Amino acid sequence: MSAGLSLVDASAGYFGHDLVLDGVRLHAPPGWVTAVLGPNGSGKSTALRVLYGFLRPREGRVVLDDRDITDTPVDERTGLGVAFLPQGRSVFPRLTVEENLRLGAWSLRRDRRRLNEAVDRMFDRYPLLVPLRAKPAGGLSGGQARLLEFGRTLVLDPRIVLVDEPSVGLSPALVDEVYEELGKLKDEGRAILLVDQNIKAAVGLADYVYTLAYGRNHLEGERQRFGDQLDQLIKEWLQL
Amino acid sequence: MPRSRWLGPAAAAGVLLVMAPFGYTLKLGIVTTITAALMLALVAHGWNMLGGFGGYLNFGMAVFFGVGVYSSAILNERLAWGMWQTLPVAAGLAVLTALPVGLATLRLRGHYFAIFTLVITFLAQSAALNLAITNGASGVYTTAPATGPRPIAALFYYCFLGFVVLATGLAYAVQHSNFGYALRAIREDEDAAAALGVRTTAVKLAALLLGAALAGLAGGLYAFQTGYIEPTGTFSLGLSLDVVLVCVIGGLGTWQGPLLGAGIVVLLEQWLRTLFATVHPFGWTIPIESNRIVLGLLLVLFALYAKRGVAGIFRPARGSQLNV
Repeated sequence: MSAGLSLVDASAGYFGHDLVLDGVRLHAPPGWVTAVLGPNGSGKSTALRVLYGFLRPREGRVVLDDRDITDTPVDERTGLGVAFLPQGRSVFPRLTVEENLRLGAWSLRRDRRRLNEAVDRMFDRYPLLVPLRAKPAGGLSGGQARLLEFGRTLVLDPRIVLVDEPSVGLSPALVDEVYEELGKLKDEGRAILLVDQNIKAAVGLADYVYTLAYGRNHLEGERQRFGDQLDQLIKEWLQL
Repeated sequence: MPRSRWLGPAAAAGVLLVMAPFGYTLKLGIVTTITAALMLALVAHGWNMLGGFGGYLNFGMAVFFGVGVYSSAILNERLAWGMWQTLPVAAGLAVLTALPVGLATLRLRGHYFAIFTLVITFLAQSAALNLAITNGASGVYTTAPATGPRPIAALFYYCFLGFVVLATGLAYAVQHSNFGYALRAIREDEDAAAALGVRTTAVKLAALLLGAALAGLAGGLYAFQTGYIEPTGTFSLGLSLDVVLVCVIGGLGTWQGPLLGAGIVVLLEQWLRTLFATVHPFGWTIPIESNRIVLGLLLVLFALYAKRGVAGIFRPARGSQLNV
């Protein structure tokens, strides 16, 4: 295998013999945005849950730079340089902006100096958050909350960022900013794995695209291959 | 916000200063009432660690309290240990009791923990009734390190006051620490907290054990204060529910909550008790236990309309909401 995060022949499900994923392979190399697309119920979110460790696969492996991390608990994955940006509004509303960021760096809690530095770096990166420092995150606007979520995800400087439906519930103007920020993360050399329903935006940003259908790999290829087939693809999905 | 941050602790210190001479200056009955409120506050501080900050409803606080009571009483009756020697053991055994409870239930999310803790009160009660070491229904006698009504009342007033001050300091520290942020994050979105690297099971377990230690400590003191203990009174669901009520009324997940709530609940209970004993509408006699109905109603009202408790009235932005 090569550098980055991979899902190798993973099968997974929630109840009984019901398979939501059936031998799915995905690979997210550094410096690329890898998009995973598919109609509702195709297993996109489940694939992400398996990759981040919320759900253990019944078969198959999760591999990070040649290292098998299938059995690594969720809470140890930040320490390996993997971060997760959840779907929808995920800030902790009763914690202040600063407390939210500090939580992102929770694994540094025994090293106060490094923790403070990591939090300060995020305030440097997103100066809009500085005046909101002591405000409860519940009072932030949609855009401010998204910035905070980015900050909280990046506070430990992860090499791999898993992103679940980044545009859900945001105003169109904000959506552009979110994808711009994701592009920036890619330019910083991180591996971005993006699960998205917003197909046009995702393909616009992606270097490599996977599509899933009925829990299996469907099509895959570099962005160019998908650029002209998009409309065809969407039509196909509507009929699935 | 330096002003509001120091206002609370400063007010608490002022109240403490006023309360300092009470053990000897107030009437005996009043001292005992305040002591009861302090004891409730101590156990409620324990409950608040996981229940208030972390949002895991625990209906079994009486078990950890009761283990503390029995540990101290048995060590005192059988081995003639002094009160202060028994207290660390009472706290320690309460923690040891909480450990398997937490390990068994805190890996799971949601209501499993609440249901399990509701059951263990009855388990503990029947264990205390049937084991040889607890002397069954006959109970255990203790000897307090003081004689005479006034010295005994004053001793326990100051003991509970001291421990409540320590527990309040602990709660304040937790509220403003990474540990506290993690607990509140767990309360709000456990998956998101885990995704940030928070070891949720370990954090919840630590909060449960910390709370059990405080409850065990309170139990140890109570064993000496009351002089005689028996299973049903010690492992009472009433205490477990009172503690939840205290935190909900006072304010979940705040260091002030248990203090405010315990004061309100004890005063209200006492007042209702005398009220129901003296008032006879249509010539009926109201059973004294009816005060539970009023307190239950209060719990519902707070849960619906004042989710952040009395503490939330002062600091609307902080503290946790009750969500059941």
